[in-house]
Amino acid sequence: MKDIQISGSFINGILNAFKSIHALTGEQEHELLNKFDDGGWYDYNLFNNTVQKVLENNKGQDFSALLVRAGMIYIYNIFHYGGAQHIMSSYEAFINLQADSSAYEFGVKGPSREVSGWVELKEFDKKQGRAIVRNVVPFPSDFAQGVYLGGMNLNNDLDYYEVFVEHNESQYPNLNDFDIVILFKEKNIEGNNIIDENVNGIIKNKSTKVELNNIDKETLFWKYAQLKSQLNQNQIYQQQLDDILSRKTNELFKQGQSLKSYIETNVELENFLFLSSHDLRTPIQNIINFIHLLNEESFDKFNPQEIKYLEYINNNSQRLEDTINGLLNYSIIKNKNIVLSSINTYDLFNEIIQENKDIIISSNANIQIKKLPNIKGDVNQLKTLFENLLLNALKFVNKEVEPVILIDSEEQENHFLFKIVDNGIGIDNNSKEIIFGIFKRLNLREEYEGIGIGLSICKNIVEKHKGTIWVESDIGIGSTFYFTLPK
Amino acid sequence: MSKVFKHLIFIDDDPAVNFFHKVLLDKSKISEKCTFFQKAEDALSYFKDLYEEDREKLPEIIFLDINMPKIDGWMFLDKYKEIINGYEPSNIIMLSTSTNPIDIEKANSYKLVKSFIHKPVSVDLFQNLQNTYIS
Repeated sequence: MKDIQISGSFINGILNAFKSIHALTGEQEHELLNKFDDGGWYDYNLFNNTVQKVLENNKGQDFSALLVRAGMIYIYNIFHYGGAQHIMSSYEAFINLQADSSAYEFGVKGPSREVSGWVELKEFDKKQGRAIVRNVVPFPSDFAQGVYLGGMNLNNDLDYYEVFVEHNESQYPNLNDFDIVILFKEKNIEGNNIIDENVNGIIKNKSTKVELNNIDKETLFWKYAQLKSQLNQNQIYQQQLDDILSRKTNELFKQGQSLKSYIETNVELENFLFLSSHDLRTPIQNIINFIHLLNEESFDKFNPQEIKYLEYINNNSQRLEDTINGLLNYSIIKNKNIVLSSINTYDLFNEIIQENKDIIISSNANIQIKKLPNIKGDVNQLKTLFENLLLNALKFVNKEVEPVILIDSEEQENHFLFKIVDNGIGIDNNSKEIIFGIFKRLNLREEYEGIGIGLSICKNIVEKHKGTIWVESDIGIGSTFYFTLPK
Repeated sequence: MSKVFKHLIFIDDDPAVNFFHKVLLDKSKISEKCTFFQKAEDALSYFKDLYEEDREKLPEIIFLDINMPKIDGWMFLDKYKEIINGYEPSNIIMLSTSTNPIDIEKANSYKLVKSFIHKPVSVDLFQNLQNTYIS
């Protein structure tokens, strides 16, 4: 179906667009808009007020279809009247050509708003003088001038005689239903045939003689040759672009496949970890139980060497149990999604301190909590995070000084920065990152107990909350653990 | 009766492993002297002193654990190499519970490392070493 919108100016284009999309405009606007029905010259202020009113009355509506339609009508007007932009001095028209000639951005830019769209060149047949642009989508743009088609400047290189809009029969057409058909013919340049035959030769070898009568023809000739070579170049670009696109698509597809299998393997591993930790706990618990029985019932029958064996069995069984429990916790936290709630971190720290009173009293530590914020997070996980870091500070104390632990926070642009400062043994520079890895320990078990899983759990929790965790430290002076949590 | 080692050294951070090895060595009586280190750094300073004072007393075999805190087996090897400076009186045997092929490959890349053994070791293994290294 051929739908030719004819109007005298861009204003009319916008008005028609408003009117033609009834879904967006009520009776009231219709009346308003009908004032402009005479197709003549309009008072700018009256027009602007009306448009504003329509926009206000339809707040929240998607105007993209409307704007694109207005843009298309405007294109039609530029083509048809060849200079409609001069009618509306306060608006500027633009059509930007994509480097490969395959797409155009068009629109008008006014003092308060911009109407723009994005079109693809679907067909371009220079001999037939027919081009179709479609897939019109609204697109914000920078300003640039020029009307190009297939690498040629429409104003300078072509005599175009008809532009019309084709769309399907729906009353409210979708954006993709539009075809803008541009029928054109090249400007009548004298000696056109000669030019066509010689273009390639001239591009290859500029010294080839071409007989031309006057300088204007020569200028036109060179311009045409230039444009033609650009068009060829554009077709090469297009081909390259297609190649790249299809290669990238294949790559992405393969990446997607391997990602999928990676995720599946990972889920399997996590399940395996979880299930095996569960199944390992029972036998190890049995071993521990029987060692205790043996110890109670037969202690006096063992010689000192055998008692030492028993001690090692007991310690190692205990260690195994701790490791299994640690792995289980790690696996649970890793697999569990966070549940956000509002948390007063000051209260949470105090709660943790109350629960660990005995350890704190026996370590003789002085704990100071500064002002801490309210945040959104998973309360169970954050409790584990705070508790692990606090217990670490209580564990790695410097035996020569009274332990002092400071808990503080700082509000930053996008998040809160928490810090837990201790005056403990410190961490050497090379180990500052590896301590967050699973099963990483820096000390002998006899000196500082633990299985090396606490900080990797902390890292996991912080990262689940989209934060980061790190440590700054000096050996013998103390460590400061920093972590961020979003506001 | 076959000859025995003069001195063997074990470096392992796990006291249970060291104790177990000591029990096996007491049973098999393959060495006149055994020294155990729980920290690689202590072993390094021991080797440094011994190298400077009396090289002849360096052990025939050093059993080296890979996975240790602070200085692990690999770091030990690098530092040890600097200390002995080309002089190679001792054979190094890596001990590990790992069966990671990367570890085995890495161990093979060190000229100093003579073999890679999975824990636990046994009396039989000690006797085999006796046959291999004391001729």
